[in-house]
Amino acid sequence: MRGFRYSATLFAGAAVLALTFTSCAGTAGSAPPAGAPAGELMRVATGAIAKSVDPAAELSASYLRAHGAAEALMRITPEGKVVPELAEKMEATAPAEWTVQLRKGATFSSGAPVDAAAVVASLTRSRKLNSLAQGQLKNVTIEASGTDKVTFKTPSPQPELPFALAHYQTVIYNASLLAPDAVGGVDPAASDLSGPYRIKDFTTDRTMVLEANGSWWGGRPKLKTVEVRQVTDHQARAQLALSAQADIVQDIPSDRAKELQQSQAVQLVDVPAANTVAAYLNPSSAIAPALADVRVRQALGWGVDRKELVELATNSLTTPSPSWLASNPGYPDAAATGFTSYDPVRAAELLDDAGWTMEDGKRQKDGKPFVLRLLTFGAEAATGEVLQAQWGKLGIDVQVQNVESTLITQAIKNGNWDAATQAWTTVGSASTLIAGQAAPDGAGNHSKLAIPGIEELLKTAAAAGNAQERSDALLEVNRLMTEYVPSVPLHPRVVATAVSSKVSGFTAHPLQYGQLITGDVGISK
Amino acid sequence: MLVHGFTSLLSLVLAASVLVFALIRSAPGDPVDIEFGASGASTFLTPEEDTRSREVRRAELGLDKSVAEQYVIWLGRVVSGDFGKSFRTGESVLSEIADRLPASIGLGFSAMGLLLLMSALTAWLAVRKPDGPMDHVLRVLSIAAAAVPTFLTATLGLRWAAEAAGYPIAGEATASRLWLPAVVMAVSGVPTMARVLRASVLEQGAMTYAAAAKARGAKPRTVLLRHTLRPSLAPVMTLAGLTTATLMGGAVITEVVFSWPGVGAYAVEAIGAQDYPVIQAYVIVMVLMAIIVNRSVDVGQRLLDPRTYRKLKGTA
Repeated sequence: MRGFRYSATLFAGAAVLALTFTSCAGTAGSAPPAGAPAGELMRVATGAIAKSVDPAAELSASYLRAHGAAEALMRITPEGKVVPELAEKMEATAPAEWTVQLRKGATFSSGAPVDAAAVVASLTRSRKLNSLAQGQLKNVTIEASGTDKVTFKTPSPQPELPFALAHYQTVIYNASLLAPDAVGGVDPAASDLSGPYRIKDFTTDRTMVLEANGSWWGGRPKLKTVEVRQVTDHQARAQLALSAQADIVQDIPSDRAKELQQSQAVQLVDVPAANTVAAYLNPSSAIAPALADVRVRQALGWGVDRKELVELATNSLTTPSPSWLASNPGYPDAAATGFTSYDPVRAAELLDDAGWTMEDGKRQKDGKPFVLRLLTFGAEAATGEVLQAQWGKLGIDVQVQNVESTLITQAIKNGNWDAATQAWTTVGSASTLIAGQAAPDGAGNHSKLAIPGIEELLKTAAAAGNAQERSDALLEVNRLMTEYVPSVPLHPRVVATAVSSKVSGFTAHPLQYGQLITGDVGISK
Repeated sequence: MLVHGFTSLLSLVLAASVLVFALIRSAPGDPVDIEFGASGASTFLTPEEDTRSREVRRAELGLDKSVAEQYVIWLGRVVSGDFGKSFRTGESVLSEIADRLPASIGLGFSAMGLLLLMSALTAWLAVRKPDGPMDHVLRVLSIAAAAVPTFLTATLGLRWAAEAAGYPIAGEATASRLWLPAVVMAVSGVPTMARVLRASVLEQGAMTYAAAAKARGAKPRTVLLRHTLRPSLAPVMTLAGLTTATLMGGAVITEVVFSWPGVGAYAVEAIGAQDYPVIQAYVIVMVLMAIIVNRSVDVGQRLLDPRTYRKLKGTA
């Protein structure tokens, strides 16, 4: 009896302890920062935030811009068009010269003017310290013309320069507050940008608190405070949305989509990303020599049921991508120049023609089975598994390995790979982006496949004086990519965002660096 | 003695630093490849420009030198208290770790406290009637708890707590958020610790001195509290020491699932980006903590059982 009393006492003690902890739950952590009344605070949860407040630091500008704390001269709309942002207008003033008229009255959050000198200083610093900006503004002479005009001169006509000036890596900032020769830093005081919001508080890998920028050229933004929190675990992010502890939650995993779609308090906004997930192929592979034959690569392209793929791998949160350029909304005809249907019969015929015959459900040639190692990364593991099943029906033994992206890069570098999934952006300077995939020395043409006539077409696209000429050349490149198959296009990545029903003015953007929080986004009390 | 202890500590830290320095640099890829891969800069550069840019970046980060040179430079800085700057943020690594360490230590201590409490309770209930119904039930529960992976306990716990108790899923390291990750971490350690304590208590209870105490008319509770408990704690203390070192270092999975702003979650980010200075500093801090905890366990053991000290001195 006494023993029971002791046990009971211990249990009671533990219960009291647990209850004490529990009673504290829900009272803090999600509370708004001081001075931000409900209805004026937007709580955003995302998989990653900027690593630094310096826009020249790798990828930092993309997050700063997405959350309303940075702007560039131009911006890309959700429809894939380029329009002025800090620029009043941008026009070609000579065959190889663009002139930007700056927006009147635009200032940085400190109140310093966004004038021509500031623009030149900002772009010059970014180009010096950031390899992506260096690539975007390669061979471009940037000069101030007075206080409100900037000219961009290039050695040859660059019709797509406005896209480069819309890129997140060319956002404009007050360079005089940052070190001229080094990137980095987490002190919000050193970060003087334009945009509806300015950085108030910043902790790497944790939070970024933004406050309304009263001097923004676009007028008073609707929110007083935006609290952006990094929540790396995707299940935790989904739970945040379901329990209404955040108003906007980015990067929702597709396996929680149905729960969120059934929720009354949250709307799941999904758009196909402005990139194409493709299975890149290695024709030089020693393990899968079949890939050297273009008919085999074509068979892999026709043997993918993309509709089923997006249903099974992404819960239909994205759309099929029959060709590489098809995920760019600016080229609606690009789908027609790709693998327009699922055609397993044609795929089987192509494999037969290539000498890979079916025996006991397995393809083989000269007594050797058709084995293909497919490397996938992150959420594309599900895509890999569906491909394994679909290509398996063709008699190919697909071995899927989901690994870190570093290992994929390393395998490609060493030449020790057969196939790997990757996603490259398709919206922006389209001729440069597609050259990265199709040119013999393109960064995304991993196998360095030489496609006949491709270089001439790429040159035409890059220098085309009018949009139709450029579009025709790009669509032909896209068609040749379908014919020679350096990669099998699959689908755009999923951009799924859970948005509270209290949020107004939210528009999903297919670009990672597209504006998520704009001056028009508000929240009701 | 003090000099010997210091020398031993120093050699351990040095060995760990050499090991981690070599290991992280032997991993596939390097920080610059990761950086360029993430940014997509290569699309806009010719292969030559790309190679040159990567070389410049490697030089900026000091990765153009041999591993031995890099180590010597790093060690020289560490001796003067400078662990370098993060590749990703450009900020002092030490200040970033110092900013996050209290959250991990707080969580680690809380989890340890709960672990000891729950283990003691479980063991107490089990030894009251060894091999009785309660002992069997607890054994089954322990095996079940040990079989469930921490990430699953954490994810399910988070889901339940958010829906049923309004648990704040993301936020700062506050008391209102502490309890759940602490419980999850404690639950994962209870099966082992409770079973060790149970076995130890039963072993000591079967000793002649315990039987003698009972023969003298001592009640079971008196035998336990005054005679067998103290020697029973020796193996538990060793286990607790090892567990504490792990918990203090930031239980990585738990910190990530609960968005706990500790060093564990920070280290995960750094490892993903191969942020060498952060990984190196993290390992050194963890090694130091493990050494401190182990030395404390040694002292505790001597206090619990002075024979341990005498054995070490050869005077038993």
